[in-house]
Amino acid sequence: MQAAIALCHFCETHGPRVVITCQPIRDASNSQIFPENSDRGLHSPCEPSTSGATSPTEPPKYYGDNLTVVEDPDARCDACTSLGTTSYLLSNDHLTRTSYISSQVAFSEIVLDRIRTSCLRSLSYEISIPQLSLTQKGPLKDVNASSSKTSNDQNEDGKDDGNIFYGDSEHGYTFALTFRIPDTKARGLQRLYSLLVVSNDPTFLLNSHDFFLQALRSIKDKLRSLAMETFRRENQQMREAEEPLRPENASRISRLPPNLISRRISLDTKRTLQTITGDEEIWIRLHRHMMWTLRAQTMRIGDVILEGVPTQDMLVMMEMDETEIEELDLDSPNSHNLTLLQLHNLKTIATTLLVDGCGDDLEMLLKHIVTGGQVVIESDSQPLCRQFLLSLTNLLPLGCAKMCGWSDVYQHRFMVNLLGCPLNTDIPLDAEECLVIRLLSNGCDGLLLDGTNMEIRRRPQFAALMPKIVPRFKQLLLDPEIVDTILETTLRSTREKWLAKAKQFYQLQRQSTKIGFDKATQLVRATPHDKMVLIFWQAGLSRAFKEHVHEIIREQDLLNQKTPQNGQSTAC
Amino acid sequence: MSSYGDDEIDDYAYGLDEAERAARPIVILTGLKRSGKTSIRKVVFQKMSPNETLFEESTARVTQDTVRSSFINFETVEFPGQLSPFDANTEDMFRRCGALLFIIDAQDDYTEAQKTMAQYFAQAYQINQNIKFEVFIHKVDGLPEESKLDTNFELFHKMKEDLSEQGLDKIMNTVSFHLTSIYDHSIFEAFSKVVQKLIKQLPTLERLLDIFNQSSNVEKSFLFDVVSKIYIATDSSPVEMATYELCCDMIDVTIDISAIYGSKNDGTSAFDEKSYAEIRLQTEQVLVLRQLSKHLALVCILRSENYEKKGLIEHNFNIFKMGIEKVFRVRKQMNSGIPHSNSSQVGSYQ
Repeated sequence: MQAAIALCHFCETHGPRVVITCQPIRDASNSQIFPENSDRGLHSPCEPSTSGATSPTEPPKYYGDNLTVVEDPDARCDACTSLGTTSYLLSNDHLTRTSYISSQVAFSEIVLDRIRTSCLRSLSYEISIPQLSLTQKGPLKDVNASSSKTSNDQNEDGKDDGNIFYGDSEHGYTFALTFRIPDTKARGLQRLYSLLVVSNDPTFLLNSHDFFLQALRSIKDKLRSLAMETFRRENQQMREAEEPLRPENASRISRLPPNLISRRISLDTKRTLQTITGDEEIWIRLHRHMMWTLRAQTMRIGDVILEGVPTQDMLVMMEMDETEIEELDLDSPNSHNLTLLQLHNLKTIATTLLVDGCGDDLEMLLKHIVTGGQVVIESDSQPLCRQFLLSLTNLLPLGCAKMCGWSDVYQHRFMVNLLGCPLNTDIPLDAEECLVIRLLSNGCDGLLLDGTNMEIRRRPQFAALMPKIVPRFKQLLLDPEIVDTILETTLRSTREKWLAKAKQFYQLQRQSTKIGFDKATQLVRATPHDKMVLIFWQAGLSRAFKEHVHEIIREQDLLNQKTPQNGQSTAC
Repeated sequence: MSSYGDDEIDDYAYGLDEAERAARPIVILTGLKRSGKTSIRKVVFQKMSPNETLFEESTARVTQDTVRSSFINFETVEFPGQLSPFDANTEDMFRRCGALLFIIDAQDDYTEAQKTMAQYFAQAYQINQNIKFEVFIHKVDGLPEESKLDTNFELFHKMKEDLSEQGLDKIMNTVSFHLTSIYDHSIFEAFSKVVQKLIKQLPTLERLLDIFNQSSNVEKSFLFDVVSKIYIATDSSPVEMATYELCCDMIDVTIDISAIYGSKNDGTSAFDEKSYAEIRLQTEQVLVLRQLSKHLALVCILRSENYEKKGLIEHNFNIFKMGIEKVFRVRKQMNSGIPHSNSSQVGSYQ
């Protein structure tokens, strides 16, 4: 359990009670509870499903070990009951292999125990005094931008309500928000609730303090606005029956004889939250709120283990979307074997083009790829076409490969530079700089390109001047003595060498004192022919690096602005 | 936590020590839900109008208040009726506890309340044997006169039975029963009696008042805490409810009149330690109020023919005031353990 969220209520009859708990249940093992073909909704939001009500025969699927149902240790009335003891709300997050379960009684005795202790503390013992600092008159008064919001809270809440952090290593740590919501039938026309985030890790709670405060406040505001509507409606009904009772009238009513008023207040302390808020779906709504509060935290805090300093490719991969990673086959567990297969194919392509094509077809292809031109493969076989494109991605930094493995329509080169499509796809003639290759399977299936037929259908304009990287690639690909594993390493080091140059180039170009283009090229030890490569490969740099560069340059500029002034003052 | 009274020790003619602060006794208010604990606390110490208490929310938190003036110096701790005060780690609190109040709603069925009360008393007695147990049979304003005493009698006997079953007969010696209501002065009177038990100097104060009465021909005199209208001491003659109410009303009148006609431009109240008032009644009686300090007032009632020698009463009052000061001096020296000159304290009286 990283953290669990609970809603607690101070029940008029029973005292502090935990009404609903949302807890994440993680799958620590690799066992697959969900069948492979089930929807691995990577992006689909988790929708809550009510178990018990929907499929009583089939038990619901969830991650984690078998849940132990803990018996409810407390006596309850309607006011402190939520889903009852038999049903619960479940959302599965397939990405992190976590199930979020909301129930009246938590599923683990430890969790239950901690939440109950914390519930008692939040409602009956702990006092929040954030208002004190804000109501103080002084220079600090307007520093906090949210002061108006907080002072608003102060009017609606009791003086001791608000957010608070407490706990110890024995009972866990809690971030709590205590609040009151209006209810016409409650004593004092208000009921006391609290929202808790309970965790073993105080740093986690404190680091996310602002986030939790915001999230819990939004839940509170929602509950309160719903309850306020019901309150107004019921008050209206009461007004029609007789004079209204409003809290603000309390002081005036004190002048009336006591019997007159006590007759009018009809208390009913056993109303459910559904009645107070006038929303039948309030538990589902709450579950969604609580689940997303927890899930957002899990998504925000993810650990990445790195071996040594990350390369630009690694950084780019971390910044990539899930779809892109899938498209480039990067999420496979045995990526090394895949790369070897792709390199084998790459060699096949190189040899075939050298033998079958006109003299410099291979060079043209290489140059076209490294300078950012678009390569379109027309093929009768989708898997082979995809393999062809994947093997070409080995010539580019990860960030430069915008691949679309199979598309029925042509896509512009600004969208994708490696495109696969069926035979005779309509490729506009005005699509500039487009290299079209027809790939015929010749009955080959599987993933190897040996024995296929390749034909270049459209050639871009081709200048004889080659960037330095092209002969290097050509040499590596055609040398029969270089085995695949060596080829992998050498290709990678070549890529990284040129990516490093692109990196340097990027940095030079962004300096505030302008450096000429030729000068910059010269500084990174590149020839003018490499210009296109350097420009195109900048797309392979990670966002983190780019931001870092901008940051440094900005700081330097600021420093430079200050220094001359200092100089003047000392001179004076 | 809110505090009642004034926090600035320097304002007192005879102050309170830090050491005393730790030793400040606690008055614990318990009782079932909706028995009127919060109402009592708010009416007595926060001047809430009794009718407003209808709009009180249920108390969820363990609420702690400090009540402090020259003589009165204690904390009230109120537990929500839904929680048992013994559940949490409250042993230290019960060790410091001077009085345990249990409030019973007399308009409701009190069988359960009585059971809970016997249990609480037994538990508290095991922690601290010096606790004074007080039962407030509350909301008696709704009961007919004869059933008030019946209720009191019935509760007394049931308690006695329950406690003797547990072999705790001697607790009954320290249990007092009070019939209370927030709509009249009975709650103030009951609380006065509770507070008086916490004041160690009570016999001395009573003796001082007796001497004052004898020498000035005063019928009855009370030493009042002005803000809460609790009397912290009276002479040894029996207290009549009507006299007490008369004195309470006099304090209200005096405070109100000074607030309306005596307020200065800077907003401070004219009611201070130099205030005094006298009211002549049709019954040939005179009510006299003299402030002793910021929080304490002496209110006495005497026949009008005895009030002709004002100078004598004035003189006796000054002697009485010096007597009270001496009581405090002894107390202060005992607390600090170091005898010291009191020029500064006496100086404030010159």
